[in-house]
Amino acid sequence: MRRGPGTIALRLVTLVVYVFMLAPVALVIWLSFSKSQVLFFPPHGYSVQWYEQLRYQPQLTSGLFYSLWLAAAASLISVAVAGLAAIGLSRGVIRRRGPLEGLFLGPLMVPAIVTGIALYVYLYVIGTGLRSTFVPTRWAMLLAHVLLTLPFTFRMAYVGLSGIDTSLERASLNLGRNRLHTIRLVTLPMMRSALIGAAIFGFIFSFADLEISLFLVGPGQTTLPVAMLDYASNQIDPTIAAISAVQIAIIAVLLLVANHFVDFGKALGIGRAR
Amino acid sequence: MRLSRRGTLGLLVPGVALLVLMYVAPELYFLRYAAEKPSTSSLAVPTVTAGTFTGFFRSGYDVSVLWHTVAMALATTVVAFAVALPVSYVVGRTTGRAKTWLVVLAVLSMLVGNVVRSIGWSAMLGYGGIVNRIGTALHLLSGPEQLSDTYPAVIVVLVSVLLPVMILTLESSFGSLDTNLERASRDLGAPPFPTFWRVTLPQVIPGILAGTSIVFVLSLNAYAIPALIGGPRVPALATVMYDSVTQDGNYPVAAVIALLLLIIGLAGIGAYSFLLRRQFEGWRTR
Amino acid sequence: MLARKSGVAATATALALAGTLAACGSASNPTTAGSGKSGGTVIVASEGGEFQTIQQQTAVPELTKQGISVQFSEGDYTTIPTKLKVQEHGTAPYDVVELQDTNQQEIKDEGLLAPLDTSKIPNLKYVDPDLKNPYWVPFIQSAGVLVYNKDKVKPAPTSYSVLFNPKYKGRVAALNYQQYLYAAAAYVKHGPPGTDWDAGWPALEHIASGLQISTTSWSPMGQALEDGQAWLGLTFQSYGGVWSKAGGQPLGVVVPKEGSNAVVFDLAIPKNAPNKNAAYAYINAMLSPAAQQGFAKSIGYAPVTSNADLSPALESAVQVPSSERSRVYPMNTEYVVKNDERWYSTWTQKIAK
Repeated sequence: MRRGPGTIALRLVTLVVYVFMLAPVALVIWLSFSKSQVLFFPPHGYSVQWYEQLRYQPQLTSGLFYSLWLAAAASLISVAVAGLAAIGLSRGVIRRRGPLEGLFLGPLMVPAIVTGIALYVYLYVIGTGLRSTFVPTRWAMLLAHVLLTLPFTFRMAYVGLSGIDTSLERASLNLGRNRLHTIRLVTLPMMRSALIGAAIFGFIFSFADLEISLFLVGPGQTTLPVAMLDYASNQIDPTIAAISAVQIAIIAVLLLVANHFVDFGKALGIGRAR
Repeated sequence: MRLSRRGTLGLLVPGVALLVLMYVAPELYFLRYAAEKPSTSSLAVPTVTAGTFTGFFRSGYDVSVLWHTVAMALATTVVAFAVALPVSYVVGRTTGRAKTWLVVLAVLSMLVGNVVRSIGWSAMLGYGGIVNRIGTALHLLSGPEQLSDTYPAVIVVLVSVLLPVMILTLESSFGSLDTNLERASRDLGAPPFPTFWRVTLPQVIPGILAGTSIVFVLSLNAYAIPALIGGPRVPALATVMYDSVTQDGNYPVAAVIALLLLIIGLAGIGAYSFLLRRQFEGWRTR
Repeated sequence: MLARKSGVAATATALALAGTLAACGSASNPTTAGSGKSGGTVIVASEGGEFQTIQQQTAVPELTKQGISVQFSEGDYTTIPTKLKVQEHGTAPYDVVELQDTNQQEIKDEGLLAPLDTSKIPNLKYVDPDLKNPYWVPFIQSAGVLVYNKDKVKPAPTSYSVLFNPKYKGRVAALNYQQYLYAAAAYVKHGPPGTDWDAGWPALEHIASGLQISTTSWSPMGQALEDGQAWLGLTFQSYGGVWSKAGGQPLGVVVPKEGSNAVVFDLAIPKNAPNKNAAYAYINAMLSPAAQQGFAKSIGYAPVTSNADLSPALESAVQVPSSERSRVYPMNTEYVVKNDERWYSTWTQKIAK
């Protein structure tokens, strides 16, 4: 009886392909510790100086803080909106759910880069009309990131909602609480895992996004991925590798935390439940 | 629990309003520019013309970018599918902690984002980088070569970046397979490959269609990878769209490109739905 | 009961988090070193990267001691003059601008600089008199050089003609178009090109297709030379010296016999700068031995002061050998400034495409 699926050959292929997928991530981390600024493979010496020197890279450090703030704020808002909408959609009086479900998954349909430029133009025109500047600002960027994360947070909240035990809600109603109280005291707490998972994934998607942010960056307000792409277009050196490693570390930690709360297969909607 | 009308509206209105006012409206508003003429002093000249659209197709350069981008997306999809197939089979059938690790690693590589992986690949494709070193050592290359700024490089990196998506989509299909059918086929004397082709594969076709259509659309719309790995010699629709706004201030052309990306992307997803339905018709009538 | 408690706790945490993050979001500019000190703030326009790092490590502490906080504003030779011009009739966006002498000449010609009050810069007495100017103060200098791969380019080159040798086609890296135009003109005229650099265009067009051109920074050239992808390049002694010690391909550095231009980077004060006293203090700090040594050690630029006190090893690393020093000419800034815009557009249209 073979152990595990497939032949040895198949499992070897799997290993090779996984290496192919993860090699750039591993290499970036490796190169960040390279001593010389000129990249040698393999490195001629090792040092952590590039991490120390990150504080002298204002465009990268301010990008990091901006992206962290953006991701946190966008994921919280997104989860709030999505959570409420998910409850409304699944428990509400609606004849046909399909179109509304489709609406919430909508931002996935259009390329993120198109959404970014569309928002820029739209808010620019509205702003000029109102004699104000709406782009490029943090709030326009925040709006874009909320839209970006909404399909994911909605999907996770919705899926999470379908998995909870409705008898507890019924019990709460029978005991005399109204629907608002029931939602606050029964439904939402039961959705906790799904909502936390949604918030974490929302954070990660926002933190790593490039395309939607491209047109909405401004002086002093550049997201980390855009700042990294700018830097990398000029040179690939241990400094950009170091900030990349920082980004990888943050995402990896968040992923491990999320793993605690959610089953990835179900969460990302690539689940068995079809 | 059923909510009241007021309750339903209260919960749904914020999200729906946000999406309609700040997502649907801007998209439609922007796409309208495809029917306008470029202007140097404002966003565009307010008019209704098909000139910008036809102008795009009359430009040899623009048309070649269109074809190259679609070709790259198709090539990426085909290669990613071929490579992901055996891997998804293995991952789908693995169980327990090994499975968790495989899924987490795939998800991690997907979530770190395109920029980090493009930077890693840029270093790997350097003149003194790992690919050149290994290629020369294995005598696949006569010496180090300029690998980046080429179409094959962009395709390879796109495949590497999108493989996790393809694998994760396919592996769930493989995971929910009924192995009894496979075993039955084998017991009846069929060798492994025809078994795979006639028994296993048809069951995973929905997953295949989903995975390939997602990967096609993602590679079609790619910006970071053509920008960093391809450079000026490998233009893609997304990079040309970005440049036409930031360098030329030409919003109508950008809207035309956006429209093309949407149309081609929707065609890809439409093909998916169509083939899926035909597949299931086929199942039912069999 | 439990559900209620954890619900409240969760909401409270979320709100606290959101609040803190909102505060962080509108937070400080990380490039500000210190704030609200008694001497005010000096805003320095610098090209960022290592230039800025060195200044933060050597010049900024001097200013902090005097109670002045330093804020850096990133810009280059195109954005800095533009911003100065735009705010010409108000307050300048910078107190100190760092530019090469050709670019300082440009903005001085546009009337954006005021003559300096030399009494406010005590360290000026140590500066090489040949480099002095009423409108700007030099802070680093270097010589134009040819870098070559010692293994691949034999015999060791002594003339710019090596760049045009068909044997090395495709192996020449390029960035600074002024140096390449000079080299091409020198090649065509078999000697220093004087004031007729345009004679070099045909020769440049001839090798254009093989040039490995980077448009933004010196790093790609350095990497290409270290990897062996490029065997020849024109740069400054600063980069050439650093690259030749980086541990990649064996690289040699030489000033070709047709000569090259010295490149000097200077500090100037816009005539409508907001805090001129702090600007003078900053310039003085940049001339201190600590700052001069910092530039020499980190990026190989030679000092402009006589009291920089470099170790002999460092001294020989940042200067070209004495036998070649006579080939390094001061830049003819007026000639270059007059023609630069035309040269740049010809380069981008005919060579760098």
